[in-house]
Amino acid sequence: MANQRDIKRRIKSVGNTKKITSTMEMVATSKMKKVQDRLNQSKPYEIKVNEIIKNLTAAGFSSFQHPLFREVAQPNRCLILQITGNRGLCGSYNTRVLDKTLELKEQLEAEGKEVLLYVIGKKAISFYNFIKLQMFRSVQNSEEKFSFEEAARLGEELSRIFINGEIHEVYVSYTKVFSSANQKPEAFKLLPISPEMEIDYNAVSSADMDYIFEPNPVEIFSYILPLYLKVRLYTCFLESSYSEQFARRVAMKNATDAASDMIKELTVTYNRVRQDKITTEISEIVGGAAALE
Amino acid sequence: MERVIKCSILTPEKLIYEGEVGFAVVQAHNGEMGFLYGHSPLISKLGIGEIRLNSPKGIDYLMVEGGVVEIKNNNLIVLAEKAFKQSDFNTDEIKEKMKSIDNEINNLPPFDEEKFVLRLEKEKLKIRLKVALR
Repeated sequence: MANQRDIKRRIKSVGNTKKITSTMEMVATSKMKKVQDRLNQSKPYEIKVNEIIKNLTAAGFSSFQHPLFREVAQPNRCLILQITGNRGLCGSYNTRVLDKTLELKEQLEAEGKEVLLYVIGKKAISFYNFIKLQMFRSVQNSEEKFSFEEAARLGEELSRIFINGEIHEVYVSYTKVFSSANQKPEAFKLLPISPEMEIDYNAVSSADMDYIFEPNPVEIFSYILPLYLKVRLYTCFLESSYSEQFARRVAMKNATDAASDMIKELTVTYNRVRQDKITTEISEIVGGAAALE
Repeated sequence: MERVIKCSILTPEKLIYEGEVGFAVVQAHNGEMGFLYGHSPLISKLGIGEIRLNSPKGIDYLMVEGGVVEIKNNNLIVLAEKAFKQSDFNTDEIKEKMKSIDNEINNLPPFDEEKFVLRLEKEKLKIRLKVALR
């Protein structure tokens, strides 16, 4: 059995770890709250943009040909945009997104398409470097500093390579927030925008359709589509970062609990060792005294 | 019933304004556009300019840099890419920025592409100043 001093040292070190994990838990909780606020602030905007697109298409512009709608007859070059975090210590958050991405990649490759990866997040980048997989582009996640402008830049970049024909399809793999306690990795097709998928025709009653459009529907449409793209990306990022903080919080809570259990167990062992030692000493003294008589 | 329109001004980052107004003026793509109670449904593109919202409490001044406006059933919604309240502006700061942009423009060779970008920037600052000085 380990000696008294060793156990004491271990108790101390586990205690220190516990302090760190519980602080990280608190930090993650506060960050999570912040992201949640931003997410709530941006939700009405996304809903509104969707509604306007619905109204426009309901007014009979579904046949309108915008380059962002254009589908290539035989798409063979796809891009997967993957959003992950910069840091670990957040449970299975990063690996789950990676799994999803690789699954999608295999599926697309089985269909005979060439798949490129646009990776965001340091952890995922080092993973792809480790398995020696070529990435199309890789950037770090800007985390809290992430702003709508950044999403706008990314949106413009993606639509540019899409419109000039470099890429035929763009998918996004990220972590979707289903509810405040339920997040799952998801992948969806961002480009070409498929109008059928986005539009729920039943939601718009035909009586509401006589809108006045200024200057004309086509112009508004071509303005709002890229905006839709940017907003979509923006919320994807926010949802991912919310999920990351949530996952970290859960992981750190588990770590803190495990540390508490460990300290409890170690203290029991420590006391037992101490008691043993005292007993041995007493019996030695008693033995020594008996030998003297 | 009061003849007011519900007005909300949103950016992707946050809700800038929400409230009931009697009369709203926005900067549309080629001039100002006013909305009163009972306006027929309309969707319009926005330019860079100020928004005036008249309510019994007074007039609120805001500024938008591009976006879309929609009115339906007396619900006015402004979806802006960027929007600011009057209180977000600092007159001195804007004036200083304008000066530095003027300097930059003067230092560039004629017909430089960069000039157009800077001029647009200056236009934005002018409107900001206008709103700030209201």
